[in-house]
This record gives sequence, structure tokens and C-alpha cells, in this order.
Amino acid sequence: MAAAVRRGKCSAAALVEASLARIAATEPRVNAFTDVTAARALDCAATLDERLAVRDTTAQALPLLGVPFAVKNLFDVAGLTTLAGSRIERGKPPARRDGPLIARLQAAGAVLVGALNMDEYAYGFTTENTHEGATHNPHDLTRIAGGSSGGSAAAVAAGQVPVTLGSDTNGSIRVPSSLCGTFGLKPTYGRLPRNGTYPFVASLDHLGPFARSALDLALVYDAIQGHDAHDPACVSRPDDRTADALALGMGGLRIATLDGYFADNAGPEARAAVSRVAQALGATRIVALPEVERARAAAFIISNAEGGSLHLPDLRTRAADFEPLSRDRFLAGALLPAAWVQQAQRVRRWFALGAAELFRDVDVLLAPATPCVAPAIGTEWLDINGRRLPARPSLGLLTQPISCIGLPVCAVPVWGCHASLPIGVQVIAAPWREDLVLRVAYRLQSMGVAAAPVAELQ
Amino acid sequence: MSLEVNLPDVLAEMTAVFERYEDALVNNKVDVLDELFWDSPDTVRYGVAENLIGIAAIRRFRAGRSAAGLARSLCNTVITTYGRDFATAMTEFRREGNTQLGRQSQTWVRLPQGWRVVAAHVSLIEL
Repeated sequence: MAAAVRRGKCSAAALVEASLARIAATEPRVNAFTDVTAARALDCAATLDERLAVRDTTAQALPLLGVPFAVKNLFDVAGLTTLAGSRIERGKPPARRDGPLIARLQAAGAVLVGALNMDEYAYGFTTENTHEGATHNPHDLTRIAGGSSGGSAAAVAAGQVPVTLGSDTNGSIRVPSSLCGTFGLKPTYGRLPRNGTYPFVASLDHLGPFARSALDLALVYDAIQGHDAHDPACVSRPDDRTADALALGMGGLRIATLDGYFADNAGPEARAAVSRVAQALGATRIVALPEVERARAAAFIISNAEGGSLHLPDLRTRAADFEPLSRDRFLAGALLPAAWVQQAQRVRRWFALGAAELFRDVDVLLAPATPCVAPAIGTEWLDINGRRLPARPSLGLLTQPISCIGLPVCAVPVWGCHASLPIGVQVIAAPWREDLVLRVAYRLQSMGVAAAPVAELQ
Repeated sequence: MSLEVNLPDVLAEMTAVFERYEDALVNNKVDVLDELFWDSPDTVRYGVAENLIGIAAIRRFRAGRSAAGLARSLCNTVITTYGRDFATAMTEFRREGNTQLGRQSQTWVRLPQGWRVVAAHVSLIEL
């Protein structure tokens, strides 16, 4: 897309107009957007086209020249109120400036076209947002898109924009990627600055991109890296350029499948997707992480406590204005004993050390991203290997233990394990090895094992 | 006059251009280096051992430069943008096997044809 604009085959304005037209045509059925910033997008594209017309070589060299993108509505967008999926934030003053990742994407030539639906305050895995309406899965409109970054995945799957940004605290990039069949990257904890976004759980929040190819993910990831001291958890380390290293191949990479918890909590389609990926990569080794259930519990408790404390004043005075589907969990979080939270942090550290031990002789781990394909909107219960589990919190069963210790993950979409729907596989590496997960994702896409087609939306 | 220092999108764009320049420098991509210097007789580049006034002198120097031993590592890089069209990029650098500390100062202006270095100065000091 950027290459076409660079060569003068199409204008940035034409790309933006095509995106706006696709949004207008599909939004009534998908409901991914909460705001479309058409005037801003057309202005921005016109500026790029003017620069290209006078042969501005800085503009010509921009890696994402003219590429339309959209962001989960917890990102600050200048002139829009940062809703974070809530009713409570409506009417608050608009953000004065764009969050840093939006500024960086724009500086790389990308064009913001709008803000996207999500679970309220990012607490959920379904994007059944009572205030805005549910986001529908573009591959089957009767089903959920996953969450909490459901709008971010659905907009890409519906072909509305090629790139979006979302956030992932317990799986909110990987779950919707799995259910909507997109590529999603959750980088290492501390890699991308989170200032200029509405927080959920400071100890666990990550930001990251969605796209329809591993190459697009890498180009976006390379454009948004960089330290920002306004996020105290953001680590100052040199950028890693991943796009140029995608085609290095699998030579010497030690890849293994995670067993135990990750097989026990995965349905047949999820297990089939992992087998297919492992087979394609020639990965025959099976390994296990210790005490995964405890890691998931730790992530739950930390999320519950930090989320509850963040919203405590509103929970005290206007609990009825919260999303009914997550209100009880926020309220429960406000009442957790401090000793549980402290113990959860100890478990987290212990589990991280266990994973580090495993990464001494493995480079990449494979695990399913969700226990099943997208359930119907309104589903209350899932049946996973004969166990009846509450649907809304359980979609993150397989993602929570990994984000609990901040490992980088690329969710890759696999087709053919279910009659008509995709399901994702988590490609996981040691901290700061985003290059490896993207390289494996690129390889799987080249082999045709992973793909992110635009939904037909007939 | 009020000037907006380090507007995030301007700073991000300038930083990317600076990185492109650095990549071109260490990989001797002469065409990119040439592109990123202002095509003007007023462009100034004070090198470690030469004073170059005007783009013609700068081009002659680049064409005659050895492509060996260009690798270097940067530290204490400070890029500051002023408004949307003006920036300074200051950095220290070291080369493998050389005890001297390098300093590079660049003044960048966004012209219709893109960001360009309009003045630069490179020097070495013994620490």
C-alpha cells in the first residue's frame, strides 16, 4: 500500500477514501468504530499528497506512507474524549493531543481514520459493549469479535483498515485476533510506552498492533518503538528493527509446543491448529511450564485488584453506570485482601523465572490463543473438554499466563480446523525477542499455514 | 514568538530521518547522504579535517571518501524540534579501536523537498 503511494500508483487520499467507503458500507453490520475521523484523515492524506507532488523525499521514504489505521478508543486522539468503552467518561473533556504511538504512526506516514469499540475499561474478552452495542465478528456476524480490543480485530478482518492498535492486559490483542482471524502482536511488557492511553492494570497493560500480515505487523512495530519517560514501566533500550529480519528463515530456531495446561484447556479445534503449526515448522518437541494455573490466578487477582482500585471512586458513587457484564468483577476487585495481591506478585515472579529456565534451550513456544472459535453473541457458558466454564472470563484462559510475565507473542490465524472460522495460535518467545515471533509468523504465512483474508460480509 | 518544542509527530519524523541518515552513513549509501544535504551553495559541513562550503564541495568529498571503517556507535543523541520545520540533532559517537570521542552537530530544516541538513560540524576530542 505504502509502496503504491510512493510510486505514484495511487494517492494517499484515494486510500483514505477507500477506507472510509468500506467503513460506511460495512459498519452497520460490524459495529467496530465508535468515531470516524474523516475530516482529519482527508486533511492528513491531502498534506501527504502535496508533499509527494513537490518530490519531498522525506515523505517518499515514510514506511507507512498513506496507510489508513484506527485505534481502540482507550488511546488519546486529539479532539476526541477518551471513552475506554465506557458511559462514565462520556462528556469528559476531549484529549488535547494524540497518544505517542499515534503520533509515531502518523510521523511514519500512516493516516488515522477513527476510534474503535472495546469492552468497557478493557475488562472483558468479548466486546459485547452494552453502551455501544456488540462488535460483530466479520466472518460470522452472529458471533462475537472477542475482546477487549474487539473493534481493532474486527476492523482489520472486515477490510475497513489494514492496521489497528489495541491493548492487551490478559489477552485483549490475542483473543480477538484468534476469533477474527487477524495477526496480532503483543510485545514484551515495557517495550511500548502507554502514556496517552486509558489504563486498566498498570502491572500488566501492553499496547500492540493488529494487521493482515506479519510484514505489516513488523513495519508498524518498527515505527512505534521508542522510550518515553512518561510511562514509568517503559524500558529504555535500543529499538529492534524487525521488518528487515523477517525472511531470515527458521535455521537453528528451537521450537516446542506447550503441553499440560495449554492442551487441557484447549478444545479440539485449538489443539488441531497448534498441531498444524508445529508440523509445518517441524517442531516435534513438547515442553511444559510449571504451575500455569497459579500464574493465571495471579494475573486474575492483580487485574481484579488494580482495576478495582483504579475505578474505586466511581464504583462507590455510580456503580449502576458501569457495564453490567463486568460491574460485579470490578466491585469484587475493590474488596480483595492485600495479602492475596502480594502473593500473586510473588507467584508471578516465580513463574517468570521458570519460563526463563525453559528459554535456555528453547527459542519459541507454541500454544493455542483461545480454547475455541468465536462463540455466538450472548454465550454464557463454554464446554471445554467436558468442563462447563463461564464464557466471558474463560476466553482468556490460555493467554493470561503468558501476559502475566510479559513475554512477546504473535497471534497467528489458522483456518481449516473449524468448518468456516479461524482460530489463533500463540507464537511466544523470550523477552525482547519480537523479531523471533514475527519471523515465525512470517514463515507460517509464506507457507500458507496462517492467513488473514478479508471477510466477504455478504 | 512562541515555538512548540518537540511536537511528538515532528520529533518522531525527524528521528526517523536522522536514523536514515545514520544508516546511510555507516553503510556508505552516498546517494542517500547526498539527498539529505541541502542542495545549495550555502550548505556548510565542517568535517574533522576539512571545511566544506557549498553542496558541490560536500559531494566531491563524499565521492572521494573511503568506504572502509565507517561503523560507529552513537550515544547521548539529543534531537530537538522547534515548530514543524526546524530541528537540531546532536550526538556523540565512537569508532571501534579509536579512543577519541566524536561529536556531530546538525541543523535540519524541512524544505518543500523534505528534511535537509543545512549545516553540520563533526569534531573529535581526547577524553
